[in-house]
Amino acid sequence: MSSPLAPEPCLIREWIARTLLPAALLLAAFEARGAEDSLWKDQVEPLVKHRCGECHSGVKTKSGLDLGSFQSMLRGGDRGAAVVPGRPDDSLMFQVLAAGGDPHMPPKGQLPPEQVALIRTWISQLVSTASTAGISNGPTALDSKSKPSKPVWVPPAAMAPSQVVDRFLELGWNSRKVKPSRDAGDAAFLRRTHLDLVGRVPAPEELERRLKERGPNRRQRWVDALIADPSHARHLAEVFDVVLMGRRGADLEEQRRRNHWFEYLEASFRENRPWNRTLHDLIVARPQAPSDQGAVWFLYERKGNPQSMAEAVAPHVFGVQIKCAQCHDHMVAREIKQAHYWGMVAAFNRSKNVETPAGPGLAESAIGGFVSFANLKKESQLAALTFFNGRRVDEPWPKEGEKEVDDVAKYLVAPPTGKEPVREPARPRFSRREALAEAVTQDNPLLARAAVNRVWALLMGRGLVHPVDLMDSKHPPSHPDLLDWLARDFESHGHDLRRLIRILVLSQAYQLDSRPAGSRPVAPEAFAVGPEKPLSAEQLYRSLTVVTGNPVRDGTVAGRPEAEVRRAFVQQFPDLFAAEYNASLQQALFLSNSPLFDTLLKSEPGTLCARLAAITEPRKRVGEAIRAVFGRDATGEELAEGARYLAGREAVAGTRQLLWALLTSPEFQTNH
Amino acid sequence: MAAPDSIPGLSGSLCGQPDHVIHRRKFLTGMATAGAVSTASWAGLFSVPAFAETVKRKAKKCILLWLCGAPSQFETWDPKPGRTSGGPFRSIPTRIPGVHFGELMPRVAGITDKLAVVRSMKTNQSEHLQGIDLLNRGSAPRPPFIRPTLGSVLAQQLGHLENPVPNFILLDPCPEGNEFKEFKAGNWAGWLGAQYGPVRVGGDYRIENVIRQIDLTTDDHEARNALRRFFGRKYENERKSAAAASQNAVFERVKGLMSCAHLFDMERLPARDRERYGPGAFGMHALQARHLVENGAPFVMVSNGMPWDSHVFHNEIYQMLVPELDRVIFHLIQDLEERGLLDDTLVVMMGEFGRTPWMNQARGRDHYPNAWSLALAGCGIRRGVVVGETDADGVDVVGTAFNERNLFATIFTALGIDPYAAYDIGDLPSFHRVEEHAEPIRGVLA
Repeated sequence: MSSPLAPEPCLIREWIARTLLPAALLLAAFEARGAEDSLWKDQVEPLVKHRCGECHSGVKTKSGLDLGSFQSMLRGGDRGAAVVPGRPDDSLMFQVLAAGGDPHMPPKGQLPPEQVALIRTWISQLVSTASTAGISNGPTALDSKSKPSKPVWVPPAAMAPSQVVDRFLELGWNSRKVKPSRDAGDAAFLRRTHLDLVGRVPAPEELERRLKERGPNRRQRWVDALIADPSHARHLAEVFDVVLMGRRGADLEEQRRRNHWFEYLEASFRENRPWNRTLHDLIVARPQAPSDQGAVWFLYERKGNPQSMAEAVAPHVFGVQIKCAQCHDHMVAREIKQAHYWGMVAAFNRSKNVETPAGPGLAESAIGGFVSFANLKKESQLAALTFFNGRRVDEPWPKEGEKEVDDVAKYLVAPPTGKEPVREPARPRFSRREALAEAVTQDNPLLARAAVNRVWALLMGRGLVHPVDLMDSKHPPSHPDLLDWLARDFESHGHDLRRLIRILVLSQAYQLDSRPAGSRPVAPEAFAVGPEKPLSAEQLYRSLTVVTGNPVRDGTVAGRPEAEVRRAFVQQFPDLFAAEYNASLQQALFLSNSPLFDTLLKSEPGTLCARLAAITEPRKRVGEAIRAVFGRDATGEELAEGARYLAGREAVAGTRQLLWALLTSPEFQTNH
Repeated sequence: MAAPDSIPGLSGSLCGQPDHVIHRRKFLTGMATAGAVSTASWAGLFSVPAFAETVKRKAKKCILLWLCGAPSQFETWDPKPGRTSGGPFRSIPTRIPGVHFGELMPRVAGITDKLAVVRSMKTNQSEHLQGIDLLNRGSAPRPPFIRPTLGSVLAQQLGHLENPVPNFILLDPCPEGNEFKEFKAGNWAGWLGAQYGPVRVGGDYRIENVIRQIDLTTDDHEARNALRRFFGRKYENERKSAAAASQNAVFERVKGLMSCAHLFDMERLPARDRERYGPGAFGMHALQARHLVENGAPFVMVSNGMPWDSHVFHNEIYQMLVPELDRVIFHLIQDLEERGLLDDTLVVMMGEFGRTPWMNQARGRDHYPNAWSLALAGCGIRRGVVVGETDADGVDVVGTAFNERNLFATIFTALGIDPYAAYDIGDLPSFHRVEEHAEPIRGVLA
């Protein structure tokens, strides 16, 4: 099947259509009709679950019939298909429900007539388009006739990438009938890009200088300057630390630092290494250069637990969480098989943590690790190196009863034989980690899709697939063609993150005002309003140091160790990429009463508070405060409100609380 | 803390996602009108009509013992002695002639005359996340609209935004908890707005940063909050920002929480009480719930991870869990009564569904929404009654079955809240507290 999107056969689309989409498309064929779809979801599915589920779903599938999902129902059991779409009388499932049916279901009792009638109505409304053709007892047969839908638009080859993004989104606005916001303006763009690219707001004087610049390409220039700034790599390293490892408390963060994890990430972003290469290095964990030692920490922190290693890798190479497939095939996104989970686990189950003179390492054995896993039906399967992207690595398995021998000939770096210290982690000739890395970081369109969706979410506030880690058949993208296009562009340009980031921040959607155009709220997945994101802990504390005039000097902020300040914020504001944002009361208490936050507001020589307190005219002081904190001019109403607050208050104390009110307000606490 | 405009429905943006933002003014007027009109009709739901008036006058409270993971009805409220489905435990008589409970609940059996048990619950969600959602919101989801949870509705209806004690307290010692963790991360208050979301406390029962800076007076604290509110609202309104709404809402709660920080200090509770309810976080939190309700909290939800999900070694696990539940319910109900609080405090004891009448291969019971039980006590609830029954093996409900809507209609009615009031939310579809006029479970209403 070749894609209508591109002149030549498009591998990504083909692959996705083969492996991911059939189930979704099959459902879509019915969903398109609407009425019987809701009939299924609202009435038939609950009925079947209750009355038939005990014997025909989950652990038990009597007569091989699994009524646990729509697809498995169509597939049928030992006695053939359970339903024939459009023909209730020919459908076994309907026949057995009739009084006197043989066999009769449920075995005990008779469904009331209205429920039988419901099943009849439902079956007769099913269309046979996707039904009979190609459906057999094998799940793989389902894919053959499915076709992806037509693309909404085919971008001309010469079009600038950011414009391609714009056009795709514009088509979405038209079809959703929404009006995009106007342009955000230079000041908002500068604040937004500073936060997104270097992890802090621009300093007031920086902002002022930039705003005087003119020329049509000024935003592009600003973006390029920010990307070239050393703090860009540091910012990305901090973000991807959370993405790859999660927030795990101050102790682990300290260990990560000591073991060069942040250095490694920073170098990788500074040099703009191909993203698939970085992921390859993380999976293989055998640094080629001493400067890459930090790459080992990604797996090392998982303490030799192959399951947690597999679960950590999957979202980045496949865009999905595989945890749910540990005990059974994924119940909702059925394309995620238990075999994928254990295949991935097998790739890591010969690895163990070792200490070497160069630091932590992951030794790998040449033998063992041949495990099997059982599903809920207690059916056992061998965990072969089979991966979710359809790749499979063949490996000879020992015969029944055969005892494997560990032999130095099987190693490039042999494991220590006696008590001698490990020089270098053992490395077998055939390495499962290397095999996995090869299979999932080369020619794997899912990796590109996962990266694109991740970076999109980072910049645009939510993913094209939302939540970001659930790129499965149950979570369709808001703009499928755009996601395809970006993923292909990313892949064909050497998995270039910098290019991707640049395309997105220079797109029109990214530059829109975060105030909606009309009074009606707009669906967030239309991306018709400029992105708004709560500040991360790091963005918040760095912006505070810049704005309040408490710069980091000799590793300290306002007389306290910088690390301590950073950790305090990380503890209170741990979220990044929350599927749904909820501010916490703990955060409000921290901003209200913590001595640490209060320290940043104090009037010391050179601080913002001191500078403002010296301004005698209250309205002028308020105006300057708003300019410094929000980076914009104050309105008359704001000047009046602020001046009213300052009236009768001692200059320093009043200013400090004025700053508190501004710095804790959402205009400062979000990136908008 | 209460600005002149912070009446329910007018302050802040009302919901977690911009496309659900409600026209606040319409919402308020709509709700008020609906309330006035329908009071007469719902008052008739009580078996003793005069009771409706009494119910309206006093301040009502509610404690939800949230038995997450789904407790089995067989070892608790609906034993099936002698049947394979009933398992190995015996049943014991209660104070209601002919009614038996599981033998692991001897103390509760002794106070049956204060309880109402429903044995005929039948819902249609058998997965935790969906079940938790269903039994906390009282209705199936209708995306993209997010219905407020029971706690948020009661916080709005029974509480006041000026209340120093948080209107919705979630006592939850366990940050983990599988699907419950996922549910907790979601939007509790739905279209009512973040100010009706829960204040979560748990674990060591203490709250950080709850003490004011020494060089700041209470007035200063208040005045700068008012200034912050001005800037915060301005931003929120211009952008219809859900993030800002969420931030503004939590700041509105700071003062109240600061003034009642001592209520969360377990050390201040008598050691004897702690011994009676304890050991264990569930008992301690139930005690704390009693204490908070005594001090003006309108709604407290006590949860403890998802311990009831016994897919493996069911009988063994229940020998630990049920006696604890027995002890906690017994003391809580007794204490509330002794303190004269039971008449105004509704206690709801339930999970998200029941468990299967058969054991799985791992000697566990799986999820079963088809026929399950729960218990109610206190405000507006008839005492000493068992409603509904299941067949010999507990496979199905015999006679009328009740679902989440019936339950929510019961809870609202018992607390003197019109169960059918419409949420008037402008251009969006119209929603009601309980949809389709679902009947309350009349047999349990006082």
